[in-house]
Amino acid sequence: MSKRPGESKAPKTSYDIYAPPYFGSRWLGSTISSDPSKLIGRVLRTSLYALTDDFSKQYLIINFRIVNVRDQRCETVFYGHEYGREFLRSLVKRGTDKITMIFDLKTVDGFHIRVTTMTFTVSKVSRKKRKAIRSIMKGILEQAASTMTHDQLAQEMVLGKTASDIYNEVRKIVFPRHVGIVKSKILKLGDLSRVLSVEEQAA
Amino acid sequence: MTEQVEKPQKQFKWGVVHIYSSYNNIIVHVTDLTGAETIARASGGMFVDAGRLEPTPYAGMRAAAYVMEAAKAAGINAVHILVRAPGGVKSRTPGPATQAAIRTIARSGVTIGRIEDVTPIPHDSVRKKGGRRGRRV
Repeated sequence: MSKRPGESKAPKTSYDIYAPPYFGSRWLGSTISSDPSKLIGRVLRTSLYALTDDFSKQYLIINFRIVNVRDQRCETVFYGHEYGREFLRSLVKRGTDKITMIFDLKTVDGFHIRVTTMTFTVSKVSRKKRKAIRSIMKGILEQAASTMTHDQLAQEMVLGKTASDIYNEVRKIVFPRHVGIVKSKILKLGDLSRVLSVEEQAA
Repeated sequence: MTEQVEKPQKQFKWGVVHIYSSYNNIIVHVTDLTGAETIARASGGMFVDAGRLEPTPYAGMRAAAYVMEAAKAAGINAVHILVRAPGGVKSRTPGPATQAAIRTIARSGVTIGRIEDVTPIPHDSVRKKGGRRGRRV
């Protein structure tokens, strides 16, 4: 085993982590650190169940990244989400199609987000239809991102608003079994001043 | 934000148990929720003498018991469990010590939140080692 840690280590204090206001400002847990500046950039992984108390949303995992620390309180921003691995596996079925489209979005407040959207069909569909479905998925999300800030977009992606918009459009071409934003990833953080000022008001 | 929502949740002090389990060893590692701060860590080799015994359920049980004791001393009373096999081009199923480790964590009296498989699975792959003619034993 490695050497015992030295006696002179700085004492570590506990900090509470809260979800951003657009996800209800809930207490998510705590973390320890010897210095508050070390907290910034840490990412916490939680399920949507923890935010909404809706057990059917257990499969959806959201990441929050710490961007600011005030006193003992860590403020976070949305840092991507994904479907649980088992849930995604359960959607894949033989004799049906999984139509995927992965692309980058830029929101009004300068966040770069990479999203993975999927449509699961009831039966195999032709390439022409698959192509049309991909362009619908991309079109709807790009239009949403062009008018929204990252928090609005995150909420719509996670809570299923954009997915149901896509569903309604796709239904005109084929009957989908499931439509969803399977994964999102923040490539670059944008303007945080608005988010932080909102949290300051809330506090 | 309402106070009523916060209070019942605040009784828990959450941690994350990362279990890395291969066919050669097991590593049980307790961190805080962000994964940035280590609370306790143990491997199979700390409790058995022979290398071939490192991935056994007994080693997994001892390693898990050791870290959970340290975690409880640090005040952790609820954990999420992330199980991981080597992944990539190597084995994607966790080793034999995993079950024993998870059972020991459950028996240690802490609340268990999510149990998740976080084995790295590539969308493509690199070439598996061993060469064109395979491993020649």
